[in-house]
Amino acid sequence: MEMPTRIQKPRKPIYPYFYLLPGLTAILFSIIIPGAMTIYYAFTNYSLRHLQDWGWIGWENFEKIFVGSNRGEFLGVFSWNMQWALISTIGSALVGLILAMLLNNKRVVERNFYRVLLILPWALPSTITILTWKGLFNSSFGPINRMLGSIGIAAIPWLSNSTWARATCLLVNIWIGYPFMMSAFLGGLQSIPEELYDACQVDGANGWQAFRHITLPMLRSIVLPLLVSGFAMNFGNFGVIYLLTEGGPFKSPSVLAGATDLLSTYMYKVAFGATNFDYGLASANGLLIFLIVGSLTLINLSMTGAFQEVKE
Amino acid sequence: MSHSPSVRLKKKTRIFLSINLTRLLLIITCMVVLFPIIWMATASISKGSSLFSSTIIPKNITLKNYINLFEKTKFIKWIRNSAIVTLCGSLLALLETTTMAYAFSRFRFKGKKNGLMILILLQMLPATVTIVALYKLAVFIQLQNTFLGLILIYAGTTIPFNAWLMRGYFDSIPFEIEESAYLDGANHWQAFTKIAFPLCLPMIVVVFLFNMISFYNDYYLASIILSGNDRYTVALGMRFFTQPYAENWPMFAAASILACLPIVVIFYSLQRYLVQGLTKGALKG
Repeated sequence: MEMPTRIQKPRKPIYPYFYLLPGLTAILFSIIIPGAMTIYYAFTNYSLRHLQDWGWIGWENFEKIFVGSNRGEFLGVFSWNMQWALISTIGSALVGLILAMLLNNKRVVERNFYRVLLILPWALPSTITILTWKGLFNSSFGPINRMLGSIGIAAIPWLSNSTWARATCLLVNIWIGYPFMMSAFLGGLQSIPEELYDACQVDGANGWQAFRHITLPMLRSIVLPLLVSGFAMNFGNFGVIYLLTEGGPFKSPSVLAGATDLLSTYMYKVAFGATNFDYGLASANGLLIFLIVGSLTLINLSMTGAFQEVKE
Repeated sequence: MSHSPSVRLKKKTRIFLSINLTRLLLIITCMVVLFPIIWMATASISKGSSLFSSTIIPKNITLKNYINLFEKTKFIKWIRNSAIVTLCGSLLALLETTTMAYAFSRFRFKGKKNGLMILILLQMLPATVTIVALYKLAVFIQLQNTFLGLILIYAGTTIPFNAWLMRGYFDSIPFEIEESAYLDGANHWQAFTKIAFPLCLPMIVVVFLFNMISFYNDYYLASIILSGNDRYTVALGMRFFTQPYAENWPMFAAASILACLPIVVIFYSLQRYLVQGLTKGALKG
């Protein structure tokens, strides 16, 4: 029997696209078009001075950032941004790990009570708690300095001295960030079979050895993705710094980049701050943030096997 | 195995010590961590004059600060605005995401693989980066300083992450139930709305509430879209009425307690799902 030369292919139905349509439209208008606009703006002189007659200026904004007038500001902000993300991530991971290990002690019968209290900083809306911290840390009339004063300690410039301000911001950020890490680590710890520790004890290993040879290796699969995604998230953080210090304290002559400014807060002020409204420069900054945060996310996604999932 | 009594005793004391040391460390950490929260709660019910006193136990309990908050600020209006924006934003996000996630999970169509890949890659682009463009776009389509503008941005920017999360959940539901519905003559829309959607409801609720929490907490996007005291959400309003700190502190404390309440209730009633879902979600990307 001769096969027909042309098998009529079943036409793929179009109804799946109707399911996709609402989401795709929203993505188009809120992510893709703004993304394209950001790339375009980054190469223009769109700003308060050129609100009507703005146009293409090539790499000028990037030159300003890397070699020109904004170099000092940018490099200062960038290096603090790196330190900020690194210390915040490692700090909250460490606090989270230690607390998770304490909470994993099954002999402490009321441990769930502590866990519920300890995740409170995550449960509260951070915008509100950051503003609260700002008041508590106020140098002249904040309760913390008042309290220190009552036991004879001189007022600490929590938010008004560059070094102190950085430390305070980190402290608040770790306070916000550790419950997430703690929960993830606790989940990881609880998945380690008890028998491993029993065997370890029979072999006469001490607590540190059990930690090094059982806990850490068993947690390894979650530690790295946690740290990378934490780093990416902290790197792009805005709220903690903007609401606590607005990037300050400031050193003259720069009015835009303060001691605690991150790329995101710096960019926000370049775009919407009272002086410049330099949309082009801000967009160029945005692209740089995207390159850094994006590549970190990419690393994380390939580590956690998201791409494999798609290929299947 | 038989140990001598002294060894057994030593072991017992060691366990006793380790339990109570753990307990002590946990209690101390709780106290340190909860300090600002306790402080706010106390400040909110203290008499005006003791606003910055250094005691943590209030001497005179009063509700004056709460009354002032309602009478002298637009707090209720901010709460109302936040409720509108977060509820509508989360509902819209749900509408856009569930259908999309379902299509990616169940249907075959051209461009599916590339579409999924793009979905993952779009997660890399935080709204932080495109803020200037979002602002200009909102101005251009005349949605600047409208709730609709903010709602559209909220719903749109969260789709990639949500859709990815939900597609995974749909994937975990066995297809057989829908298959038998198809055999009974149901069409794809019925299979989706009558079977898959109800089965996926726990996840949908979690995503919905998680979106609500993050929209409620947003300062960044709201600050560029909304302006004017009457338009503020809670996050914006709280920032601007703290300006003369010393005077407004007790009122601010009262406001922050009230502003935190709805979120805390949502978080704790769903904490098992939220904590599990999010920590796993983050680890799976």
